[in-house]
Amino acid sequence: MNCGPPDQLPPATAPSCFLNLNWDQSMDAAAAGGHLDPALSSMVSSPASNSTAAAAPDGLALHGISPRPHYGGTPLSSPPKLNLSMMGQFHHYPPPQVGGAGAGGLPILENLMPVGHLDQFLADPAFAERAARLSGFDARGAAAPAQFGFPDAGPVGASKEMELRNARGESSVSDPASASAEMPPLKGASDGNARKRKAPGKGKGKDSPMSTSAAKEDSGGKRCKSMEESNAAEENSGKGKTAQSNSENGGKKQGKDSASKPPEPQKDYIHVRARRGEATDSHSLAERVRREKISQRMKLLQDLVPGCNKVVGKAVMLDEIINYVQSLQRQVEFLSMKLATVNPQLDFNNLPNLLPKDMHQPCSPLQSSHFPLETSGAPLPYISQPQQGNPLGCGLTNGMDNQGSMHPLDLAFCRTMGSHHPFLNGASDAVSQVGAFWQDDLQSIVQMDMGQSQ
Amino acid sequence: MDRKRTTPPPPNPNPSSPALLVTRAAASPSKAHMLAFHFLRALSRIHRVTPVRRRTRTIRRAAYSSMARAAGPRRAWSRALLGQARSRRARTLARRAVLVRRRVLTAAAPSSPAARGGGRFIAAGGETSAAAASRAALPPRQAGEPPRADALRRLVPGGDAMEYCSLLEETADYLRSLRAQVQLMQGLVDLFSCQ
Repeated sequence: MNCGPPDQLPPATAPSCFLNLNWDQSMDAAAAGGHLDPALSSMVSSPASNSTAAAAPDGLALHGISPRPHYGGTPLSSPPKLNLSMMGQFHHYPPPQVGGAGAGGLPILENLMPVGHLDQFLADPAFAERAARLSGFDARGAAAPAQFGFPDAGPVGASKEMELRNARGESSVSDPASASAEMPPLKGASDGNARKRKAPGKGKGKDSPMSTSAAKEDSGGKRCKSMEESNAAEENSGKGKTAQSNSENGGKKQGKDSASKPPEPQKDYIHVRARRGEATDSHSLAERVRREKISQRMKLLQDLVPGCNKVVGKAVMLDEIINYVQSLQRQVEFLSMKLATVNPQLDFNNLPNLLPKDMHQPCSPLQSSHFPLETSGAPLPYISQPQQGNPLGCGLTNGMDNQGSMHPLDLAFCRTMGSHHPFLNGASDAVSQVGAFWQDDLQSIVQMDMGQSQ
Repeated sequence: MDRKRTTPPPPNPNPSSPALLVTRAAASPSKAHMLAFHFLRALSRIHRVTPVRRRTRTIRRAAYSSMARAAGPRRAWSRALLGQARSRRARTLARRAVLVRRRVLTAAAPSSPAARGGGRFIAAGGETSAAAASRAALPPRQAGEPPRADALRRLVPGGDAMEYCSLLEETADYLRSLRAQVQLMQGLVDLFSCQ
């Protein structure tokens, strides 16, 4: 989340002055740079040329900030385009959260423009009018500035409006009557908006709430969320929250904002949106969150337990899971019984059968070597090194077939733990053979496990 | 577990520094490697020390302990398993100490009933405290969970004190570990018996 200081932005891609939130400084630098006008014109001409903008991020990005004070002088149509190009330029700066140009503009704008500076935006009469309209409509609920027919300015307007509300509190109401009177050209969209705001729990099948929720989610701004929280606290607990669970979004999004993936908010609580026809009090919301978590986990378990794909229903699934766990535990018991009886047969008379063929010759001295009959002792030196990390892992991960290179390794290991196994001191060669053997076979075993375990 | 699943370091052809090798290896042991390491070490120790008639039980306990150790302390079930093992060990030690004390007492003075009663109390006390704790926590927040959940709770170690939601998550992780352990043991059995 990039609502913090832009120091978090990658410094490699931006000049140092770009990182300054001090607009005057950046302005001065830009003016001194003298790239202002061509950059401006390029931006105005091609708002969607994000590629070109991204190609020269340093210069253009800088000038992306700088033209802000010029907004008062430029025509109404250009600021949205400028904003879009700005957003496009800064597209790559907060990489993880930006899903699309439109959505990406929001966090970027919030990053780079603290609240106070937006007053300059508001000084622009056109902006003031639009902001008033927005605030008039959206006295409480979520904004749908996209409905106002300014798709470019939508996110920008949303941010402005949020800042407005933040600055002025909840009393930002230019009279709704006048606002509604101004809305005839945007009637269709505003109907959806009004409907959405009046019954926020119902208008879930529309694109407008989706886009706004998407815009809100992509903003990831703490300010926006806190505002939403305060909004929600005003009217209804279920209304002002945006759905953060992807499952809900997937179910409700109509594919309009498919490009903008909602980022995972770093909040410590989950936002839930009440669905149509559902109760919206906090208890049922929490219940629904819990139920969704449970269903998620059941899906996980379904993948783990073999043969559970055909089964539908929680009760039967639970029975299957219980049966599977029981069967695995019984298997562990059975195998431990087998291991208790089988293991002593690992004496080195049988090694030639187990070792790969190229090791047959060097192995014969093993059988006559002075290995004691505690057969488990031979694997021991390779394995049990209490002081030193995981030698088995080391051997296994090395995974080398040519034992020549493993020899010194085993020798080194043997030397270090000679105190534990005195019988090894004279048989380091043999032990290295055993080690290599052990490593090969164990690696095959462990590779089976590695495929399964996580 | 992510740090245990990082790719293993490339083999170092210069083995003159075992410390370097070992540190590089220890930096990224996978979970399966940890499992194999712990289990094999325990297995070898068991075969060296334990008499034959008690090996099955001990190997089974070693299997669960190595599973728990490989899973790490981040999981509730692994913590519960290791806690069970630790309490069991403490209990056996206490019982042994009590038996020794009892023998000494009976040898010293014929006040055997008192010693035996005390011994039984001590041995039973450790057990019932642990059992009582788990039984007291038996009915947790069972708001919307199905009635079969308590069977699952009994199966998964430490499942008594969990909510249903986290119980499912722990079950998933426990299943994964259990499957890995079974595969390891099966491979070992095949290895040891393919003659």
